Amino acid sequence: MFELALQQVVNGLLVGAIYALMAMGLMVILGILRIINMAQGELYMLGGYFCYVAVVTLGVGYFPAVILAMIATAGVGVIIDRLAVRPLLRRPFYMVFLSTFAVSMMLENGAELVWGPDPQSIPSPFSPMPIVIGPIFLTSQKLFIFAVALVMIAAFAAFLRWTRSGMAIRALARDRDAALLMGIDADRMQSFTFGLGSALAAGAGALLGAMFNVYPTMGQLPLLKGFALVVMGGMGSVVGVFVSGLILGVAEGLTAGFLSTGYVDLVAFVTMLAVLMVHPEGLSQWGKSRV
Amino acid sequence: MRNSLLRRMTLVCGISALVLTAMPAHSAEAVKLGVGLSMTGPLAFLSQQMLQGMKAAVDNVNKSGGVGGGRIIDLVVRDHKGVPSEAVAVTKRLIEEDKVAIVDIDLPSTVAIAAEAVTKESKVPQIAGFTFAPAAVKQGNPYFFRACTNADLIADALARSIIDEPNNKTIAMLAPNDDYGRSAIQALTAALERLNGPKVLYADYYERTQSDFSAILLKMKSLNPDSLFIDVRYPASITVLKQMVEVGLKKPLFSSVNFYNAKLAEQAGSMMEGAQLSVAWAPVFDDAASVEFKNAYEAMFKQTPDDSASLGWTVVMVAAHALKSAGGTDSESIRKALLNINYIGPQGVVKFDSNGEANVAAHVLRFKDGRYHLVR
Amino acid sequence: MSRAGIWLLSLLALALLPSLMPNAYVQYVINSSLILAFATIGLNVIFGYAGQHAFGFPVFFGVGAYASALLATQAIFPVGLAIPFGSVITGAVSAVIGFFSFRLRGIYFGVGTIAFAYVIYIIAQNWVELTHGPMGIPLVPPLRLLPESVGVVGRDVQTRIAVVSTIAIIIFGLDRLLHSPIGRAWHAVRENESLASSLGISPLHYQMAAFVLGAVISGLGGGFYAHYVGFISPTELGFHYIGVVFIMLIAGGAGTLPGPIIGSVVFGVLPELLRVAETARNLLLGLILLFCIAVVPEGLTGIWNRLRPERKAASDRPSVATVPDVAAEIVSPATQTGELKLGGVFKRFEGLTALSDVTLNVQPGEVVGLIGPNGAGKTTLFNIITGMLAPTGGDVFYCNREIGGLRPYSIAALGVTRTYQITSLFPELSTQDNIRVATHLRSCRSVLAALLRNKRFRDSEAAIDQTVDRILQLVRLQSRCDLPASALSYGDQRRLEIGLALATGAGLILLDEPAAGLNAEETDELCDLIRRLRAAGFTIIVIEHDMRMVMGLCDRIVVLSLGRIIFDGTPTAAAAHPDVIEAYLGTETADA
Repeated sequence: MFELALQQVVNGLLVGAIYALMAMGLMVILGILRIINMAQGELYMLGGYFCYVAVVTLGVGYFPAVILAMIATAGVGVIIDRLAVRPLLRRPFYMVFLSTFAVSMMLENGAELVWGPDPQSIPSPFSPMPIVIGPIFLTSQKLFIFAVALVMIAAFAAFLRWTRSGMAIRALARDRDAALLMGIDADRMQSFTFGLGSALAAGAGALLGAMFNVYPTMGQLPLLKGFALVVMGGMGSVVGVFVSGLILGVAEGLTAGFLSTGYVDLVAFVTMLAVLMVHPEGLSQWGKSRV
Repeated sequence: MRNSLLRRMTLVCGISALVLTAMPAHSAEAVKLGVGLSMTGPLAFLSQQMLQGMKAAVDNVNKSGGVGGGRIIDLVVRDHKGVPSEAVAVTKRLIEEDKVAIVDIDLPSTVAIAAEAVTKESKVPQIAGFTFAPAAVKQGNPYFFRACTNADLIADALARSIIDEPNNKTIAMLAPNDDYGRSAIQALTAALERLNGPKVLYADYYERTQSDFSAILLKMKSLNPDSLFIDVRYPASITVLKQMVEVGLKKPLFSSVNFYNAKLAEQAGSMMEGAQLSVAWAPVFDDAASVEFKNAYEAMFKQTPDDSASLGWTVVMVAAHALKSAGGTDSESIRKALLNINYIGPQGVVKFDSNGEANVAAHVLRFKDGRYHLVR
Repeated sequence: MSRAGIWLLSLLALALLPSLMPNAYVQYVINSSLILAFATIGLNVIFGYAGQHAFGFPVFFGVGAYASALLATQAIFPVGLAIPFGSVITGAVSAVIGFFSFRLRGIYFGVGTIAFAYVIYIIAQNWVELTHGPMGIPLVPPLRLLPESVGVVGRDVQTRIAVVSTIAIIIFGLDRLLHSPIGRAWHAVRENESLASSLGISPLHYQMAAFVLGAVISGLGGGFYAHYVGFISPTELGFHYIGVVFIMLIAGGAGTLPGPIIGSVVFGVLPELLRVAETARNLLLGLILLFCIAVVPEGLTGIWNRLRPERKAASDRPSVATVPDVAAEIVSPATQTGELKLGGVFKRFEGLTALSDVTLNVQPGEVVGLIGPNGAGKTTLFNIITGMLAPTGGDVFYCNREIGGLRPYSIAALGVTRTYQITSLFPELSTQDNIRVATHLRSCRSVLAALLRNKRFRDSEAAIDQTVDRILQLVRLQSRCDLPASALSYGDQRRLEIGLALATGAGLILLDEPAAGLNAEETDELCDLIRRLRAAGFTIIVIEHDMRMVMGLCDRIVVLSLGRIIFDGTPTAAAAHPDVIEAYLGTETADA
């Protein structure tokens, strides 16, 4: 019993880091720019597919393929920003919700038309043989992804905190007009941020695509769980989202281990709703000025 | 400006009205079989295979004289995406617009059951070729016939193999969280109980979108069953097998036709070694009907058929036989003909009882040394 | 042809024309679209009328389907009862979800409703004992108005007649609700929630009402759906429905009466008409949605309205005939007036003390001027009295009732109202409708009365019309009564604001810088009006910077500086008081 719990916890931490990476992209766009991007899940999906194309069709190695996928998806993200978000900024925010929702429908259907509805797998350079540490089973792939996720998240946090562009993004989030007055090219920064958020999502998709599979609807659930994480973690707090991701991963693992798998997905939503009931404005008091 | 908009709108309405009233032309000599499959969606691959089997059968029937009176059969295929409400729409369309004589709505079982509401009311014969849910023959629909095996029979065959496995006192199960998976586990649990087989320690379901099974596998590992029933679809099956290695879970495996897959064998063969799976049919069958089927299929598609293709073949053959002996294409004659047929197909004898159940037995294969061998 | 005539004809056409279609399959498509229209109409109530972005709302259609199917198959309800009972159950479920969702603000509300929708889906998928999980509920009995012998086609026609009749009743009811205080309250909450609250309209109350009503309507449609298709599975609760229903609503025209129906019929039938792109259906639908949002957010109904110019700025009632300006009779306060007592009120905001130890009594019929330098806390004090803020400490009494900490709408109901420093109106509504909305507290707010249009309701509306006329005359906006409020000049808007305050019937009126931006002539007019109000029995507190006005108008002056009252007395005494002078002008410096 204890061993099962321990293994589930360790497993949950690994899965949680991946959730956090998935949510980082959403956190940038939603938490910082306050734009609801319903197409975020599809950007994650495209990351996976671009990686697949790079490895299988173009014959690129796995690791460069991940980078390529991130860049390509960043491009898609910028296009989405230009076409579906920017023209609607001055309108009520649900317009952006609906327009990005429309984009997500189009991307999902488009992926299905191009690559077919069946899942594809990306050949993975990792060995499936487990690494055993005491009663715990790990795999090199999971450890790698965990490490990469940590690195990406840390790099991203550092970027936001200490670089000029990072500060510009944060300023933009606080007050767009003031940022404009300060000489920040708000439009360009927004596109850049969108591209950044897309790249992060794509990275998660490419990494996970090798571990599991890529299929056109793979972005639906990560989008919703990403929302849950951003809400719980505090819009705009990298640390908050990361910690929430870990907590969610562990909670899901324990639920699957001790209750039933069917209700695992419920955990994210119930937790999010519970948090919101106590803090109807989200947990932003935790992460308001911290990044 | 205003007027031109109005004019344009009227034009659009006019064209739409024309399109709506246009009737599709149809050949007077062909008897139509209406087929509803999941051409898009997770069961698309199986649907594709089944359809190929059907096409091979149609070709075979038409080449050998059709269904009597110089008539040939024609397939009308529509996509219901695996969604029951779409299946209802598809069935109505096939019956009322395409004017088919017989419908076959398959993959998954819920669509066949949903379609029964339509065929029952419209009094059109419905033959199911790939619907295993036991509930399908319990809908009180005298026009429904199941020409394939069912979940109970599949479970029965597999249960016997499970019992035959030495030192097998406990088993854990995993299946998809949909009607197929739930009836599979339900049926297998019942069969094991009936035959005094191993005790079921744990049964769980995975979501179609799920990609990480380590939590479930860990749980199973901690319970330490003697064997496992892992009925997971491709390509999730690859992930499951890999993760089983990763968590160190290695036990005798039992599964279903989901494990009968060339790509799976190629990618995960070593992990599947010794696994036993229940199937409706496999190319290793060498009875006369199977050979005829294999030859016809290979001639047309240049590849070996699989389980799904054989199910498609069987449905069309059953329909053709019924049409031949029915004389007319009205529902009642076809229904009576179906009740009387005695067709020997690749899967076995198809003879319907009063409920429309054919009780075609299932078979078990074992995967060994990279190949599938017949066990029972 | 009158509106009612057009409606009747269209609905009749919808009910009967499809029978002329060549085959029953097309009828099936049209019927399904009409049934889905319930979901669109329901969404329109919460999204279009009440303005709440409940993104997960379409799930209630599926909930209604399940409820009705389960009642019919498990509890053996006859279909005719299962459907309405199912919608009642849906309403109950929505009440629970709404209760929790409305605690969330902004983006979180929308995201929260999606989360709830997903939770419902997971429950349906996994609670196999109740819902049969993914295996679904088969054999849902069909809806039959006549005995079996009528056959398949007959059933299609029956269902369609039942559906269209129900839609007709719903539309009729909604129309009546929209042209009643309830509909006006929805509009107010949608356009300017905080103004609505201070006019006595409880936003939560009306949002919840819209939420539950929309859910009941959606659930009704779900019930029809279950008994028409005959099979329910968790897919009906799935996410593609959400997108489709939103597209139907927006492309049809959100916030309009015919919009959802037009949207549902067009976008239910269109994919079938196209016939081509079955695999690319979502692609096209997404494109259409994008196009609508970018180019025609008002949808098809909006385009239609644009083609009919005489419908612009249509008002609730025919415009008032311009009567020569008679010395307009003053409306008197509808509620009792009494003493306003503040005792030791203080307000702290995270380190900043905005008000401390404010003790003040205002007698009925007084005109009190509240003055002080910027940042003294005058508006904060108003906010506390009217309930927009709660005092950190101290008490506020009006007519011997504790009002400190109450919500604005509760305080408004007790007879306290205000105007704002920055003009706050309902810009889309006409001038007279702005005032009409503000009469909410005086109106007959019963749903039943609105639906039945009984004598009590008609009398109430007639009285309101009279009140609106008198107020229009009083603030001299009669000739502009049909213009949208956004089209008025600044001075007119300020007068309109006062009109709103009077419309509530409150006896205590707080005016926040009413003369700001007015010229001398307009200011004199304003003073005249205030004097007449005092004569009619109103109590008025004015925040002003215009000293001439304040000195000439007020019975008493209260001076606030840095959150404290530094003077409370007559105007002449105030002018001479050293603290007051210091607060405004500062002390003399060495080289002054």
